[in-house]
Amino acid sequence: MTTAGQIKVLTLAGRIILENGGETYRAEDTIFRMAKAMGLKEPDAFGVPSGLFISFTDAQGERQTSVCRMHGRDTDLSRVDAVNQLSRQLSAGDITGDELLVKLTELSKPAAHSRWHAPLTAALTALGFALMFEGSLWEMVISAIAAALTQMIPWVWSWQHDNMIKLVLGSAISALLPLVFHHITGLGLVDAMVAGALMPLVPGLSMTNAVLDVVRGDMVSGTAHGARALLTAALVAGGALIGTAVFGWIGGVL
Amino acid sequence: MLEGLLRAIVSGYLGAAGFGALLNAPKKGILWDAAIGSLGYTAYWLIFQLTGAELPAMFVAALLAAALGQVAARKLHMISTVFVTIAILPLVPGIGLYRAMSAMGQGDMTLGAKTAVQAMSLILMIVMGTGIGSALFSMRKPVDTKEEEL
Repeated sequence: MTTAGQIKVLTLAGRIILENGGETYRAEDTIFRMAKAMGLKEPDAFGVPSGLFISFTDAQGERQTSVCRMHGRDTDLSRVDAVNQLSRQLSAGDITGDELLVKLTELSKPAAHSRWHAPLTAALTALGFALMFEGSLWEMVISAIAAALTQMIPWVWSWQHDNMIKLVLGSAISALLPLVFHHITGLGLVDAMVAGALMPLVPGLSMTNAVLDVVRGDMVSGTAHGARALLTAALVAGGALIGTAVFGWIGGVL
Repeated sequence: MLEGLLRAIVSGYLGAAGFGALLNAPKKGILWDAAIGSLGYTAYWLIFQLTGAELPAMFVAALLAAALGQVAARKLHMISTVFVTIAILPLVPGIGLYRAMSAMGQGDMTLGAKTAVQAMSLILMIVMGTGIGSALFSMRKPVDTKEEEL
């Protein structure tokens, strides 16, 4: 395999992990293991949530370095797991570097999830949490509808900062819909409906990544993930407050 | 008591399974991490019901969920993120956070601040439990990067 191919393999592996919700230590660790499995000398990797730096010494004794800026960030844990599996296969000698490059290139292409995947799974999540918060049938149904609507926002609002818009607008809908439903019908526990609908927006992955990165001693990435979790939580709370305020403006009584 | 226990088991399972699917966890892992999520939330609910001590209950539940997540990752040869993240999500005190925000929105800052502090204390317990559970049962030993000096 050429040096350019080796750089591409390591960069792609790190990029897929970081851009799909993996921890920074996992990206660094995987790159290091892959580099060793490919026989590269003195490999090193440094990652932060927004970038990745990789160095190694090639067969000619020259030091090679690659810098990679992470742009998008999505959540697809099955891709992170797939890279991990490929790393294991490479270490075990089950695949070659060239085969790995082909598989990683395939894995880095946009996922072909159904359009309904996010709304349906968010509805299932909200349904479970509405039940947890002492809700019954109405709470589960309304929470599920509000959570599904939240995930449909990118269908009509495809903008550069659509995740931020989704969080604020989605949490506003998650608060407003149950309040209006309760106001009109008198049915359901508002707390259970709203909290259930908001749960799919909770930044659980960022929170866990922050903890796991800090546990591994990576304070920079841990702090960045923690800041992301706090900002997301603030946006969700702000959106729910907006929804509550809108309910008051249109004549609702809390 | 029995109804509450059943509610904890089923809701913890559904909530965690939904999160697993939402985060695109590998299909073969979802049933397991939903089971661990359900077990973690049920442990929290049971300890809280039996002792009335909410913070220790949350800490023990998070520790249990993180530890089981790490063990499951090792047994199933999958990444621990899939199990740990999804297993602790049912523990997040969503209703407490909403009540805090709702009270503040209605101008009752005292109640809002009190509820927010309670919810944040629970989150702190989750963070501590997850950190300690993950550190104790970590799947991979850190690679030795010092074997070759530059």
